[in-house]
Amino acid sequence: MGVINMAHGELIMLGAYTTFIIQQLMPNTIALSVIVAIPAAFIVSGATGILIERSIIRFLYGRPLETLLATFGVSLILQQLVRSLISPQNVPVSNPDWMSGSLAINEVLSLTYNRLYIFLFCLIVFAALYILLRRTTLGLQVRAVSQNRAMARAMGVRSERVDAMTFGLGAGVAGIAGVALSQLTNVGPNLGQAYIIDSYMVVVFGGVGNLLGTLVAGLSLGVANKLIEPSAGAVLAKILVLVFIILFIQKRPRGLFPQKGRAAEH
Amino acid sequence: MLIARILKNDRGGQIFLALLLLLSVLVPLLNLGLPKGHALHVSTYTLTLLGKYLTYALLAVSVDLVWGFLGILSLGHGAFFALGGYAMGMYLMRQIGDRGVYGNPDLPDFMVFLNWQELPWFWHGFDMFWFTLIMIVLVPGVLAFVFGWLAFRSRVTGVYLSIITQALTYALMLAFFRNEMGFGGNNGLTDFKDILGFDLQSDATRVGLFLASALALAAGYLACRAIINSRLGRVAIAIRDAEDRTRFIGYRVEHVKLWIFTFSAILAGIAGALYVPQVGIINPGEFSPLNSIELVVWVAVGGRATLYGAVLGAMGVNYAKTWFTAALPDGWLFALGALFILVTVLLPKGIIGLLTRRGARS
Repeated sequence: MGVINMAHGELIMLGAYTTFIIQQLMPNTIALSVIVAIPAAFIVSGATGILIERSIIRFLYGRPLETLLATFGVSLILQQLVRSLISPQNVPVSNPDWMSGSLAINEVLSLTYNRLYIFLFCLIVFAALYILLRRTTLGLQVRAVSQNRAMARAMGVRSERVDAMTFGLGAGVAGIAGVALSQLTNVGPNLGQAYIIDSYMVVVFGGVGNLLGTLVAGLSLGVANKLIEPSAGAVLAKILVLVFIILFIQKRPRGLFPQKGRAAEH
Repeated sequence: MLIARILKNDRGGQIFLALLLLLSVLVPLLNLGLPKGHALHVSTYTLTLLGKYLTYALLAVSVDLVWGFLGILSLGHGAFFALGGYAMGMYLMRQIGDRGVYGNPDLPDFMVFLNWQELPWFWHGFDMFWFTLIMIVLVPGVLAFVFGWLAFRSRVTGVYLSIITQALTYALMLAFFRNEMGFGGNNGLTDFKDILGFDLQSDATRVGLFLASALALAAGYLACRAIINSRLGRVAIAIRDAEDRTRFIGYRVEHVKLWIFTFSAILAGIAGALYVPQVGIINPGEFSPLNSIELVVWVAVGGRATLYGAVLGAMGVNYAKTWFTAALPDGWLFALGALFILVTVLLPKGIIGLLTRRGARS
């Protein structure tokens, strides 16, 4: 869509908080709660995303820098909202039984179940998103609008509706990511901010408008980060990765898998 | 006169500089001349606060130069500000001498605390003021030059550049949080005693710093205005409006961008160096991406591409921040967030745009 949404991290945070609230609502069935939380988070974050798109972003199409600033404002408001309404502290989200424990392959190598499940879950979401964008009418329309808005409109695509749907979809996926993250890290008002720079780095690295590139970039950056970590420490590893990306942009300003054709000019 | 020539056709600038002159005469007089308790007495607290706003205003002017006239939205200008601040902080640290908590004449307190035996190489020279002054200009300048050279050469533009600059300041923040870096870790540098032999706590020194900030702001404003009036400035505006066309006509777009970006970073560094002695602390929090984005909003609120709008925005937003954090601490982020949205959606030209539109209509 050509929109940089700085509030995306906060949509992840909303997804994580949705998990927390659902666990509060059904304390006796923690095992089920995560399953329930996935569609709930999708709806909560997706609806918030559509609201943001309809109320703010649609006035700013074609002005990417202003969009960036306005969505940053949204992210500040969402953070403070969570702080005021729920709590400025982190909230506890419990892991269901079937996700805790670990799968011991041998004495040295053991994989915790929650990470395994989340890995599988991410693959499923990725596949679903891929199919949605490549095989459905909505996906076709989304790609058409992002490549050439005027022409898509001339062919009868209701571009405004597609915009809202695309944005809502992106926001909903962020919400699902929040559910997954709530099983791994602390859930607090700053959850989103910690991930926003990382996630844009992944997109810049992989190339904009390209799901496969994002997957490759996300995996390789994450693995690189973890590989440097033991020898250099967590913070230094992150700095090295950032410096690497800044240098990488020199060689491939449009990422690993650049968009081709007319869409690439924007 | 040079100043008159620069300010020709710049009514906003004339008004602003006149107000600044008035402020820098009146405030010190009311602070030093009148006894405490007098109705018109300006407390030293207010004076220092105003001095702090002036350094913010200089920072905002430097952002407006690259954003308003060159079209580069830098979300990392806070980094240059903080680097200038750290350079000054290191000088002030060395001035403490053996009056620190541990009384070690050779090492700053935090190094004694970390059991370091000798001064790291990059701290040498910071006990001399002239060396510090060079570093205040050189460190942000060189960083901006190298970063800009890499980024502009490969034609990283628009939001990508914004994100990369944000990554830059984020990386620096993480780096400065590390104790091993030798910049005081997350406590930063503080407990300053004096500057050039003058006690930092005394009223007269505060007035001196206030005047220095006002002078730097005026000089920075005139320099930016002079650049914009020059041929270089015209090319910059052409780049902002149609980068590809300017390139096709034959201008070296990346060179223009690089020089103006570097100059702007140096201005930001100077603002940081004046900021630190007035607030008395510098820590890695100054590098946080939020700070850099906030200062872009000062410019947006005041009005882009006017320079004096940036000053107005920096002063106004920071006054509101001071007021809010005292009266409604929870409300500030709501207000700031709403400001981001309102300014971009409803007031793309900021307060100055609103004022001039009113003026044109009547």
